[in-house]
Amino acid sequence: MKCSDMEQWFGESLRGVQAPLPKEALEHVADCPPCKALLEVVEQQPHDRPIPEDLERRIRSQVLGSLTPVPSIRSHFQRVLGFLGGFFALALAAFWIMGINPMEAFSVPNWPWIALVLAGGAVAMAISFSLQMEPGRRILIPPPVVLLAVAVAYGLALMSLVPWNEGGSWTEFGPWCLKYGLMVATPGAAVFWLLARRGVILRPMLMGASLGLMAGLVGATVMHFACLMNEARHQVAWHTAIPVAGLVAGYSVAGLGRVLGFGGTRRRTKP
Amino acid sequence: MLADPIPAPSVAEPRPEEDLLTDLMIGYQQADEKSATELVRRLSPILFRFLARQAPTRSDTEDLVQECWLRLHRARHTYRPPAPVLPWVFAIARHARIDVYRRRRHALAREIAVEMLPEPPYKAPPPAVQGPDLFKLLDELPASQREVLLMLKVTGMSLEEVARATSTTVGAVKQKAHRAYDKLFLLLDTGKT
Repeated sequence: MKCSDMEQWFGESLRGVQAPLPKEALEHVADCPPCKALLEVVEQQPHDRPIPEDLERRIRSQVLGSLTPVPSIRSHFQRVLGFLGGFFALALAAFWIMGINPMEAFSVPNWPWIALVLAGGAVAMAISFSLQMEPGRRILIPPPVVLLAVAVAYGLALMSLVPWNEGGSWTEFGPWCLKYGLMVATPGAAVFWLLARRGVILRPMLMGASLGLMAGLVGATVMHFACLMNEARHQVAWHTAIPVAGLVAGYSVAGLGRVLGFGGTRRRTKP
Repeated sequence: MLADPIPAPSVAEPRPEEDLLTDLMIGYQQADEKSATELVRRLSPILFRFLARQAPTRSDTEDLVQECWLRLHRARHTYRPPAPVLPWVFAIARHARIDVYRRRRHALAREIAVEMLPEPPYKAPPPAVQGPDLFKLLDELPASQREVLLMLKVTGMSLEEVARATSTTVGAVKQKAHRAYDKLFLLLDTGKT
């Protein structure tokens, strides 16, 4: 028997539900000074820590005082579809207003691959959003990793798929792309915020950053098809700047909101 | 070879208590007073035990439990049956604790110190036999390891439930728990209590 085998027994002992210690465990404890010491410590702990009656009464009156029926939040799948619907509806509206380049404008047929990366990023962000809205969900990839992976994948896709040094000044139309990209991203942020508010926001700054990145992806998607500069330096510098600026803005706004006290719960007064 | 006498903690075995909590939670969402009262009765001591070790005073612990309930109440629509209830509760509770701690630290930074008697820290009833206090030992652990150990051992949640509550993977929870144990053993071994 190893020290790690003793772990379950320690927990049960703390909760006051321990079974008698088996022979093998007793033999291990006799030979292992740290386990023996921990066993002695655990056995001395009081099991029962009753909650003060007054506190339970206060909580009960607080809960029962405003008890109304509430429907459960929509399923994970429906929430993901909602975010994706918002993403593509906004992108289509922006295409309709701004127009799309003819496909001949792309010197290399790279647009389907970049569109695939953008769509994949949107799906990953929608799943991450949906998981963040529902506490206690099983999470396989932590949301900050998703954020980083989407931003890096987009940057790498541009670097590897868009031709370099196609001529022309790469800074000339840069501010134009960034400006219009962010103009598309702003209503996107509002739409995603409204969708996210249907759940609970436990980590506002992470949610703000995710929201900003996803809104920025809408802007980047639109600019990818509306921008005539099919050149890697321009796109890496200015098109990647749209989701990154969205991420930074979302994180900053959420941080400011927290400092100013928005979004938190109000301070209660004891009756 | 001998069979393992102490089975490893189950990963996702449903327990009767869990089913009851799920039923109570459904009733709570439907504004059933009996379910809400029973849920408060069952969950409050668990929350109190979990938070008592992470708040400086008894009054802070009570405030924290009340704050948790306020948040649970506001977020009750985000529970989706038949998901396990405890990970949902603890995911909200641990963020409530972090927010309250942060808010208090922010407020303390602005306050001007005045002469007053500090409130005595929350102390559990003295143990029957004098010896090292386990919870003092736990205070020596990093916050994330202490939190995982409290959920696993004091609250009795499974690895899967703790992983859900802390938004991490089962592997990460196992790793934190083992590191916490290693440190506890080290502390006991060196007599640093």
